Amino acid sequence: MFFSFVKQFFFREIQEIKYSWYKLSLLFFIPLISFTMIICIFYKAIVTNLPIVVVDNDYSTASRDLIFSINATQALDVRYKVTSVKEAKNLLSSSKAYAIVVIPYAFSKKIYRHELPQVTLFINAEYILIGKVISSALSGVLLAKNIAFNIGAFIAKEQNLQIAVVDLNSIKFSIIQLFNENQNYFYFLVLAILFSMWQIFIAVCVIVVFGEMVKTDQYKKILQKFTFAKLVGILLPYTIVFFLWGMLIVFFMYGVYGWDFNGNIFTVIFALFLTIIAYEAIALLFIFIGKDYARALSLTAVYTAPAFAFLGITFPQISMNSFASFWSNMLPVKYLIDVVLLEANYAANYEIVLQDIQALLYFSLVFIFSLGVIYKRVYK
Amino acid sequence: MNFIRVLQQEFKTIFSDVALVLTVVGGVILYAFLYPQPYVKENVTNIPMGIVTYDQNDLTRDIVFALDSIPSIQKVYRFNSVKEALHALRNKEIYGYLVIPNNFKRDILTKKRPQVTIVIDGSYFLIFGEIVQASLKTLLKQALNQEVSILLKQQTPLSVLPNYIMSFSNKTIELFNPNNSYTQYVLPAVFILILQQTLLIGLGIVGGGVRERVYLQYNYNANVVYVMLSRYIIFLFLFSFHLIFYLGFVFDFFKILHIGLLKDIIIFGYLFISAVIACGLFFGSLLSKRELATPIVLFSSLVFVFSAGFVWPKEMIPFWIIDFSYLFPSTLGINGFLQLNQLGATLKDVRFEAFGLIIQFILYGFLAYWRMKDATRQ
Repeated sequence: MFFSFVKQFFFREIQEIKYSWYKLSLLFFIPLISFTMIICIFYKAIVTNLPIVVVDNDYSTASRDLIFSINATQALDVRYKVTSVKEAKNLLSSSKAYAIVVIPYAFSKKIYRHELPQVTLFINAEYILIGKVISSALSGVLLAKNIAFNIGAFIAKEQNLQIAVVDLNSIKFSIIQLFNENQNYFYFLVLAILFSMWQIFIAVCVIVVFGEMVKTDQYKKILQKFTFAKLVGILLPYTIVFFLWGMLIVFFMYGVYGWDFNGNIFTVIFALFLTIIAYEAIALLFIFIGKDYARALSLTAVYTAPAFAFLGITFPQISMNSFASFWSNMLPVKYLIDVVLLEANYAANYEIVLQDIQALLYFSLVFIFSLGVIYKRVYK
Repeated sequence: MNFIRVLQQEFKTIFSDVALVLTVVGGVILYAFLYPQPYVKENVTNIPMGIVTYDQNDLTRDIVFALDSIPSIQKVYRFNSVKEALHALRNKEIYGYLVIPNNFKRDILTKKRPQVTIVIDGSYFLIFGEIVQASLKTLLKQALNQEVSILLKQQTPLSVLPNYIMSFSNKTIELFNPNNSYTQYVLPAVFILILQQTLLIGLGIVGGGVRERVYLQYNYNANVVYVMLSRYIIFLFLFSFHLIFYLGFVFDFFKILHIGLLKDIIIFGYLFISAVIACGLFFGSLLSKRELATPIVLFSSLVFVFSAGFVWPKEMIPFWIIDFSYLFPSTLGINGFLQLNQLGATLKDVRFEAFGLIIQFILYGFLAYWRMKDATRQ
């Protein structure tokens, strides 16, 4: 009996979807377009050719050499050469360039005289990500040039080569970045953004499906008797489609795009399923507590829209204040992303994965509470 | 109906629609305090890291002490082996660790260039940056101290010392956000987007509601120009207030610097709000019911954020996405306000954005008029 109602309402909802452009868009077109746009935005994963401006007050071989080296760096592009710092700062203010390199007068002369000329860098630190990329790129070039000029200077003066090769790097550094070589921002950001959008779609879909029913006061009639079976049936098409979307995201990141996946895919599948149930449950709560379609949408907006910031991907959760940390813990998608990253990166880290799955289980149990509210509304 | 009557009708309709008011008043105030929460601590702090040192002497002790006293590092845990440290990394007890080899101090003093390994969890890029910076700075400084002491022992004259190490010096000045504050980075742009999105939702709800004929005691045959003008005045007034609230009070509350000239901000703000209202009027005229407004605007938010070019540089974004984003006020508005308020530009510098907004205002205004006129004819 139970399964026949599930089946009946499952096919009923499929019909509803087939004849509703809106629902079709919510399920297929809008996610497809949104995901594609985000992937396209971050497609060129490694930052290159950021425009900077150079103020060369020396016009010597040394200064031109330095500028050439800076331009040769992948991340930087010496797009403007101006004669005053004022002009250069205007370029920064109008976002045409992100940094200024000022080479002082008598740069070349002072190097050969060991008088330590000063190169000044003005970096636009407003855009932190861009600023950091430029900062490290410039530091690298300047350090290399520093040593090169030094050796050159000493050779020119026929000094003892032994003394000349006292380089700043008395230590060799080996920096090993686990789990994300190449500092590819695509990986960090895109995974989080795609799942952030995904959870918005799920919640909104549920509100739309039941919102119409509530708005036209049809919900009591429709959900009378075998309520649970009918709910499962109605939600099933959406659960399936968004599960597939979730798998597609994982497949794209780790299959097509080629990131390493060292863990257990079944854990991820389970986590995906639980997350979907969790968001469906929360959305049901929003719509059936207030019985107002538009208001439920506003609530959903408040809950799902800011989620990306609270995920701890860009700004880590350990550095958040207690409220933000708390809100972060209230978002099922945070645990999902954690599980995906853990399974992909660490493998065999069962304790933490278990904690995340546990949290997701608690969230999916909200479904029981939502059911309670629905029963109350339907059978009042 | 004369204009005053229409204005009254619109005012009544808008402010008695609970969902609308919740978004354009409640939402604006709520988001002002909700969105900044993750970034309120401004800088990345509290990072636990580890150190495995096979060399035990005053140098390595100095290194641990120096690392520990860096503000962004919460604590430096000592491990006896790389295996232990790696295990701690996997369990997220630490986010990175240093490995200092045997005979480290001796090798520095004898110029044998010992190798230090820094292992970091690359999943969270801000943490990565902090650990690398902290480690490099500390180690280089300690090594430099050792190096200078060698040269001193070789009786190199003090005046010549610095030049044995560098040929030129470089000084870095970070403009506009000297503390690398994350609130300063993200919030100015996000606030402008929030203003656009909430305004679009508001106009979408009322526009869709009218098309759906869901409002009681509403004259659906009122003069279209009067209706548009009324909504323009109401929302312009409301959102001018919101703009001042955001760029004044909220900025100061979260200690965000803003250096824009007041007159430039007011003029640009007026252009921005006008463009968004025109866009919203057109948006509302497309919706067959008011519940379509919130979801559609919601879905577009993240795309607008990342195509604006302040997180991910516009130089890296495909041109067709940037061109697409110019159809909407947010990219122009965000870039304009950031340049005026954060980067010290003047109105002249943002004329591209300003003209773009004016064109949008005119275009969307006409489109909205055409759609709304069409609707009343039916």
